[in-house]
Amino acid sequence: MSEQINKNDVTEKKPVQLMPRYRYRLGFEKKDKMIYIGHLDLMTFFQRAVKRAGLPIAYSKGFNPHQLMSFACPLSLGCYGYGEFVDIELEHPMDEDEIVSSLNAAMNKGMRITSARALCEGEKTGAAVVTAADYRVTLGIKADNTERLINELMGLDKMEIERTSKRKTKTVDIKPDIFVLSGDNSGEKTVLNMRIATGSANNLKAELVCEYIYRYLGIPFEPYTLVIERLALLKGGDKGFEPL
Amino acid sequence: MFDLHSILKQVEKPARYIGSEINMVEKDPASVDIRIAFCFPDTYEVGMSHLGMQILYFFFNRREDTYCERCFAPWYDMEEKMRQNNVPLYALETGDPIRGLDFVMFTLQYEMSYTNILNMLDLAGIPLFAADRGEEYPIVVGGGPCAYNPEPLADFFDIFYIGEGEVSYDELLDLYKQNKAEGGSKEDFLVKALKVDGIYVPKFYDVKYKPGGEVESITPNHPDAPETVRKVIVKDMDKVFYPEKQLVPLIEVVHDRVTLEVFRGCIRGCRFCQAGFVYRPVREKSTQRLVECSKSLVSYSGHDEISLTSLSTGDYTDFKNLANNLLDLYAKDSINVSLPSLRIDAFNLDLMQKVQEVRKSSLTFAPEAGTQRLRDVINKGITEEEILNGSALAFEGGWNRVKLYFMVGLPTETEDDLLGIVDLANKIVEKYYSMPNRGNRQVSVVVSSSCFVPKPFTPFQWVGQASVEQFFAKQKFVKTHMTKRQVRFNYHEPQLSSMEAVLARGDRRVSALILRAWELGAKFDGWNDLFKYDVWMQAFEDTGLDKEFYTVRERSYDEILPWDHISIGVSKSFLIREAEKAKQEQVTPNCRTKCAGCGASAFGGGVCFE
Repeated sequence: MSEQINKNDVTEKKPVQLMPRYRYRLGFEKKDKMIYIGHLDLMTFFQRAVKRAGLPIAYSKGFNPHQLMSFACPLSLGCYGYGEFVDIELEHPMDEDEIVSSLNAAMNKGMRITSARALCEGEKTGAAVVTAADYRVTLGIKADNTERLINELMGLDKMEIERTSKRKTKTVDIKPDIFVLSGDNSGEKTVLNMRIATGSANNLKAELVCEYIYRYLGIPFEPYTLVIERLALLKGGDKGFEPL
Repeated sequence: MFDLHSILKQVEKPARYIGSEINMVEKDPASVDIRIAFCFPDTYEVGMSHLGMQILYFFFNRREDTYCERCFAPWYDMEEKMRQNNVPLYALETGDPIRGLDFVMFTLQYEMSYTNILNMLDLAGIPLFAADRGEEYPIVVGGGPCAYNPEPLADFFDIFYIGEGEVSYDELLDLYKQNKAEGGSKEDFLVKALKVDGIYVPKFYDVKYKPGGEVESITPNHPDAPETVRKVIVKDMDKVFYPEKQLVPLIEVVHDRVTLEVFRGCIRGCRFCQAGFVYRPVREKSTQRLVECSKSLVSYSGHDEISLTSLSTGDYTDFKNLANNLLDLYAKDSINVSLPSLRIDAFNLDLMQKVQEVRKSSLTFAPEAGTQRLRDVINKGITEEEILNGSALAFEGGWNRVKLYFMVGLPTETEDDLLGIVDLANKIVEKYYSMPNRGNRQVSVVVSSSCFVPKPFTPFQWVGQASVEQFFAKQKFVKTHMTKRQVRFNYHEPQLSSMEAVLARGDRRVSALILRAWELGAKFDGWNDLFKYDVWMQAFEDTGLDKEFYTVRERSYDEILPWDHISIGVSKSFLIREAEKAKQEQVTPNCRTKCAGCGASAFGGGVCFE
């Protein structure tokens, strides 16, 4: 985004006067069959929804103008999202509730805008501040003693696993990126709750944590048997996490 | 819906199989009398780009008593999972197996999708042969351009719909509903359907063959079956139903944009082009109606592109006005208007510059043949001068890429005609370097050549196709002479075009061939990398059919053709006249310049009465 500074203004003591910008952070849910829409398609989906809703969306300047819209963090294909965020910029200010209702009228089943909040001047984008996310993962199995298992895992010095990205396979230690891990065996299958590193600096996938656990237990890992739900995106770190 | 989740998580692009698109129609299946599965026998991405499906989907669903859902050919990975888990082919809207619906309707857009039809029926658990389907199975209907010669598929279908869907489907569905209410059988319905215009029920016709293999006779075997089934078409394009919404897919598909159908038919009469004959006469929509349609389509879809779709959109009588109207209306909302390939004159160039300010896409010409002589034979009204002048104008406007489309194996073609392809490409390169203000960039000319496939209902329906070996030799000949480094030469698989010719001009006996090829694993034959020629050759061997009989054999004018009981309203005598003019290298002016008396004026509308 182009925040230009006029050279003539530099000598003045007052803070640089920028064009007012009307930015909003929208919270949304992605569930039902919409979990099968990947991130790129989701962006197109939102761009079209914004047009159908008739929001006065702002466009980037330049040769190929695009809507000013940025998602806090991509959600993997097949995962449910209950606390997702996208930032948009409008040409003129709008009532937050109206943004929510007009967008929801343009959505289909499985996609819902849950909140809108005007961003403060200079507030960083969601993508820039996300550091962690809370997940609930229902495994395809019922583990024998979840409590003991979690204790064992959290007692390990390292949790090393091979991660395959684009072309390379490398061994990574995922332990530092797991902030919280707990289990719940009260249901038919084992449910894991985890808070893990998410965002541009460190990013751990919930699926990889599960893969580690399956391997640890010596059970063949079948990723499609997992039900992965991302419950919240968080910012902050050492001094505590807070909602976006 | 079945619990598909574990399957969907194991396949590529699971969104192909979930429906839920924007503007998808939701109805309570219990509240309707008629349920239809509209099937496109190719992938989701191809099928969702098809305008006909978008129109008919909303056309059927405008009826309160009808619920039309969609179904596409699942990709290999999905098919495997479906078969492993006993998931029958289902309709995207409700997830219900299509086997349980009233109608299963296939759109026949290209011949090479025929094996996919069998595969989809099989996946649905529906017996392939119409004769094997009892009362409990849906009525299987075929429509679209390949339905004009439905014979290779005749054994698999109950009904073929000949012509434009908006005309007779209401009557057909009303009859179905009435028959169902009266407790009538499928047979009762099929007999009643014989009275509906444009409806062809293949089982009510017997075909006999001569010892040499040619058709001896095609005779109705039911008193109500008409001798000839004539296509039905819409007379007034401004009054005909057009959806105010479009399905907006959730994943990227081939054509993902608002589609405006500007007119049907084509005035040009290129002699190789089946669409140019079967959709006659040309019938236009008014600019006013088109602009009106565009507004609701844009607002309901959120698309950022509008495309004008017709056979030769530049021939629209009010083209400038329409283009300017749309550009003015949508530029401010960042909505692009995508133009079809246009004849390059000053106005169109200006227009092209308006719509593509940034990236200059390439310039496309379809001369189809390399010399003026051969272009006259095929009645392709484009001259070398037009192409070179058009290129020059475009080069001045900053374009530097040109695409040229040709066919090899056209009737009467000689080596000179093939060299003409090379020559034309070279002249365009030379033209570029002769321009004073061309900048420093290189010019690029891409020549694509396909293999000519003779199609039913064209003046070339009688000609023998070049053999696969001849096609290869022709392509090689062109390739060896293509020496300029600025020119790239692409060509199509001759084997695929050869099989396309068999299916296009086949008779009922070809059903066995399609079945055998499918049994041997043929599917997605239209996909170059998936087409298995050896499988088809094996199928010929197994069925005892002779490929050459359908491909390279020249037919005589008095031979009964397998599709002679179908009428497109264009007379056979006109096609013969055109075939003879082709041999004499004579052109026929387009419909607006001079009526050629093809017979389509009998429909009482369109360009014939302008």
